[in-house]
Amino acid sequence: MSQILRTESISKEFMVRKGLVTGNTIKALNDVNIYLEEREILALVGASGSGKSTLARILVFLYRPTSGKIFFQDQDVTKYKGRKLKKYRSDVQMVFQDPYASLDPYHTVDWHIRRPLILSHYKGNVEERIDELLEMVRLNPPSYYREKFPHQISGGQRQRVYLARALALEPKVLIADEPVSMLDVSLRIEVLDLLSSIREKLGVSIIYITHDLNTVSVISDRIYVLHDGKVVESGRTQDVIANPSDSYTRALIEAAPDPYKRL
Amino acid sequence: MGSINHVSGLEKIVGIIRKTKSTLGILFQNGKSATGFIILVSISIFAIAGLFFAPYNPDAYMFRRSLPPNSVNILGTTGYGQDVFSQLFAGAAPTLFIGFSVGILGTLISVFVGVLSGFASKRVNDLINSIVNIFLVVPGVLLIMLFGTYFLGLKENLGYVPTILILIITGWAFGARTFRSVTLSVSKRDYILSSVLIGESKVSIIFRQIIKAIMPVIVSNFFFTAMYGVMGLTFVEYLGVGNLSQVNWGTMLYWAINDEAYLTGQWWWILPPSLMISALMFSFILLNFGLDEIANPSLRIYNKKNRKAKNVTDTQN
Repeated sequence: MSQILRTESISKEFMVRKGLVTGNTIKALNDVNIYLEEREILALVGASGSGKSTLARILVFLYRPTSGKIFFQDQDVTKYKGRKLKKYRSDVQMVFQDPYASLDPYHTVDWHIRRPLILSHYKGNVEERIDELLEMVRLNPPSYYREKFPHQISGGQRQRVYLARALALEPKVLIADEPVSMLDVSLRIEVLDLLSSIREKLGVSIIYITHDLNTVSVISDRIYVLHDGKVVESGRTQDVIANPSDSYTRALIEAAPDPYKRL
Repeated sequence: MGSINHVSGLEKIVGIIRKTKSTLGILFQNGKSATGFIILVSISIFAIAGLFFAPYNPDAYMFRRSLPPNSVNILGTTGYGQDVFSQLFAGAAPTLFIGFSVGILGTLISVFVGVLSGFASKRVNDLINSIVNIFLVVPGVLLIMLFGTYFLGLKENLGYVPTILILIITGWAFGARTFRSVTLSVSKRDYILSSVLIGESKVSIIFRQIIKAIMPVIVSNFFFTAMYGVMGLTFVEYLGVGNLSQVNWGTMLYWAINDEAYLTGQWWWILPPSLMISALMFSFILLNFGLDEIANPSLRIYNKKNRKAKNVTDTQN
C-alpha cells in the first residue's frame, strides 16, 4: 500500500490580538507528521482544542499552514493556488461536523448534489447520477428526497446528503471532521457503517476525526492521538487502545464511558 | 420514480402567479406588514391617479390667496393662490418615484459594495471600509449642500436626477456597512465553506447563496433607504438645493414654510403634505417591522407562546 496523503512537520499559529499593536500567537499545531495510506480509515483522536479540526482544515486549505509541507500522491501541494487547488480539493473532500450548518437552507437536496456534478463537468447522465449517489448513501427512494429542503429532513439524513455531495466529485480522500458527534446515538453506527462501506465500494481513504474513542475502534485501522497540537501516540487501533503508552492516551481511554460501569 | 416532468409555458406562468400569490400571502401573515402594505398600495393608487386627474393645474396661480378649505378648493389654496389639493394629488407621484428610486438604486449600490468588501481579500476590504467610513462620518447636510449647489450650477433641466443622485450619494454608506458585516458572518458559515471546497467560484457563491441568505436584510434596507429618500427630498428642497419649480410634497413644505404658513394659521397648506409623508413613512416602517418578524421566526414564536400562556390562564380562571 502506498501513501496517498502525507504531512511533513506541519505547524499552525494563530494571531490573537490584544490591543492595537500587541498580540500573542497561539500554536494550534506543532510539528505534526502524519500519513494516510490508500483505502485506509485513519482516526485522529484528541480532546477539544487539541488541534484536530485545525489539521482537517489545513488539509483542505481552508487554512494555510504556518510552516511545513503537505504531499498528495507524492506531489508537494502546499503552495497550490487557483486551478491546481481546485483540482486538489476535488480529490480531497471534507465532511463537516454540524449537518445543520453544512447544507444551504435555501436550496434543495437536488441542488446540493447537482452543483458538484456540474462543476466537475460530469460526462454521463446527471439525473441518473444524482439518484445513484442518493442510493449509495442509502436515501431511498431518491425521488422522495430530491425536492426536500434541509430543514425537512433529519440530522442523519442531512449528513448522508452531505456525504453524497462530497462523493459526487469522486474524491480519493475524505476527511470527516466529527461527522457523527451532532447525531443521535442510535444513528451514529449507521453513518459509520456507511463510511466503511464507502471505503469498500469506492476505495476512498478516510480520515476520521473524533473525540469519541468508542466509535474509533469500530471503524478505524490506524490511530493518531493529538494533544496540545502534537501527535503523542500513533499505531494500529487495537494496539493503541489495548496498550496505550502515553499518559494522555490512557486518560482519554479511561474517560470514555463504559455502558457496563457505574460511576 | 425517475420520470422527467416537462414543464410547459402555461404551467410556468401559473407557477409564477402562484409564487407571487404566496409572497403576498407572506405579507398578510403579519398584521403589521399587511397594514403597511395596504397603506403603501393606497398611496400608490393615489399617486397614479394624481398624474391624470388633478382638478386644477397645480402650478397656476388662479385662485384667491390663502383660502381655507371650501367647496371649490377641497383643501384650500396656498399663499400664492394655487390649489392645495391639486398640488398634493399631482405631487404624490414624484415623491413616491424619488423614494423608490433612491431605495432601489441606493440598496443596489450598498449590496454591491457591501457584499464585495465582505467577500474580498483583506486589503480590498480595508480600502472599501475606509471609503464607507468617510461617507458615514462626513455630515449628510454638508454633502447635500456641496453636490446640490454643484448640480444647480449646471443650470440644465435635469428633472429629478440631481435630487435622486444627491440622496443616493448621502444614503448608501450605512447600508453598505450593514451588508459588509452580514456578508462577513454568512461567508464563514459551513455551507459557504462547503461550496468553496466543492469548487464554486466566488461570483457563483455570491449570486446563488449569499444574496439569498441576506435577502431579509436587503428588503429591510430597501425600505429604510426609500424612507430616507422621501424624508431627504423634504430637506433637500428645504435647503433650497432642489429645483423649486417642481411640484412634490417636499417643495410644498418648502413654500409653506417659506410663506410662514404655520405662523399665519394656514394649516390646510402645511398639514396635508406632512400627514401624507408621515403616512408613507409609517407604511415603510410597518412593512419593515412586519417583514422582520416574518423572516426572523424567533420574534414570532415569542408572541404565540405568550398568547397560548394567556389562554391557559383564561381557562383556569
